[in-house]
Amino acid sequence: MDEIIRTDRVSKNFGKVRAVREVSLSVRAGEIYGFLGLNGAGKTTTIRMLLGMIRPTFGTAWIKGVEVNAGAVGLWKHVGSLVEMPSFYPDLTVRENLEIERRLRLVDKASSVEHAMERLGLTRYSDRKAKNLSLGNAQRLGLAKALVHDPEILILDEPANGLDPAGIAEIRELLIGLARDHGITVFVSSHILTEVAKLATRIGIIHEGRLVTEADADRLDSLLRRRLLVAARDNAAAREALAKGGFAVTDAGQDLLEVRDEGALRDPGAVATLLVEAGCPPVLLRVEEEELESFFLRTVGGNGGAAAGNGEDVRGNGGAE
Amino acid sequence: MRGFLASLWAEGLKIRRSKILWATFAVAAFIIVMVGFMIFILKDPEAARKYGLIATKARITAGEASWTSYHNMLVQVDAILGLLGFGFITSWIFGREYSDRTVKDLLALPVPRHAIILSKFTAAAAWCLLLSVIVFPLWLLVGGLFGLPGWDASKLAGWLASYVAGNVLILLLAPSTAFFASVGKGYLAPLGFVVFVIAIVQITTIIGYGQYFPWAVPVYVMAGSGPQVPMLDAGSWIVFSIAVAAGFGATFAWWRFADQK
Repeated sequence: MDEIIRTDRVSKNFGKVRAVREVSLSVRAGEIYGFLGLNGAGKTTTIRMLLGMIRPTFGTAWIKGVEVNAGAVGLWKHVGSLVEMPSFYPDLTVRENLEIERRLRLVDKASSVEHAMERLGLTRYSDRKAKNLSLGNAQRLGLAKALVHDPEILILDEPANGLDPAGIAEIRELLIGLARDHGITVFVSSHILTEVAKLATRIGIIHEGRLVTEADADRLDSLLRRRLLVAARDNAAAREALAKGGFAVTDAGQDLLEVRDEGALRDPGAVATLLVEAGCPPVLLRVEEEELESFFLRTVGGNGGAAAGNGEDVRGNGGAE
Repeated sequence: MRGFLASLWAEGLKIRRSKILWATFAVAAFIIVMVGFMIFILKDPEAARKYGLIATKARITAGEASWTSYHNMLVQVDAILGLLGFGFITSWIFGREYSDRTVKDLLALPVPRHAIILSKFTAAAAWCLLLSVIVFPLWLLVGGLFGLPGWDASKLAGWLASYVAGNVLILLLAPSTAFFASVGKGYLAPLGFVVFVIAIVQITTIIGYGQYFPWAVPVYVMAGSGPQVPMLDAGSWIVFSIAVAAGFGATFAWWRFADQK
């Protein structure tokens, strides 16, 4: 697959602050790359470097094989972008704002403005001054500006900001459709892993300026921690029986035992059988998978190491809890 | 060229939709009427007594009620307001992109950044020249309406020539305010710069070196020849040219090379 966006150890220092440190990433054609990070992680700085707005202190970025810099004018015909909050001329209408964008994108087809408004559901606001738009519609206008020239590449910084749940789902479907049906490559930043996981085909996590993890979205599950929680009438006997059975057991608190062995996670029934045979039947067996947010926070070194939620209960012979 | 024209069209639309455009015309018209009014009350001693402080101010500034005094007052007012007004217009055209946060949408475009800047300068020049074109006939009209004495048609060509030359020279210095709008990311820095420049014009004039301060040069050109107007020499034009080139060069360089955070 063609490499559309590539960075090689791009870094940016602002004085003593190292905003981005040696980020090397690659985005292939038609891919939706979710660029995740907490606020201040370096997402926007990276995006600004990708768009030639700021010059890397070190390293290089390429789009479609062309080195990005302020003079690489030809590149931007192919790229649509939304950086941070959407911006527009407040005294101009939605249509006028898009008309300016169309002309500055050197697009001949006047109908592309109508098309962009239709795509983003802005047609009924076309003659409304941009300053009178709601936050959600302002965000739509920002996206419409990014799409008015039918770009091959979209670079979007937190595009779901300010949108309600329906709007978020709508934008998600739009981006998925653009990638799937039109082969558009999307580079999208966010600080919400659960949202990006629904959208991206590949995910990169940036923290304190460093790219700490990169993974295909369909492999994300394998990165999530899983554990088997066990409770028995006699936890001490159960712990002994599990240890004898070759399982590493730890205390999970709240009168629960925790087993992380892959065998136990694959076949919790075998653990139940072992406990029943040892004379301490389980009252609870639950396979628990780490939530995405927890994974994200663990990856970036915050709270959330503990797995939570999304549990799958497997009840043993000992009866219900 | 296509990019430049597209950007110029956009600048035109932004200006047309702005209330600031009409505000600048209104302020210019108000000032002309006020200058005319000050001269008018000098013409009538009864009225001068009635208006007390205004008449005193008019007497100090203009001396007598005549077209020549009226022209001298226009020169003084227009020189300072030209620096301030043209500076304000340039500040607005560049600074609004920062206050509206739209500047980031002008950086990753198929239109080169120099074409964007050039279109902004062109739009600023058109606006300022339009203002100048309106002010001069309005000045004549107001003077005529107030019935000022001493009309001398032979002086008109000279007045117009110095007026046009002065305004064009002020316009050439406007890019420096665009640079401060870009670096300061808004209106405050360029307006502060303009006020500072006006203060330095006054100070250098008082100490006798105004002819070597670039922003004083258009003021002297507009004032024409006279015993109180310093003579401009080659040095004046050299420093003026350096200031013009620095204003343009610095703005282009900032947009091209500085980090646009």
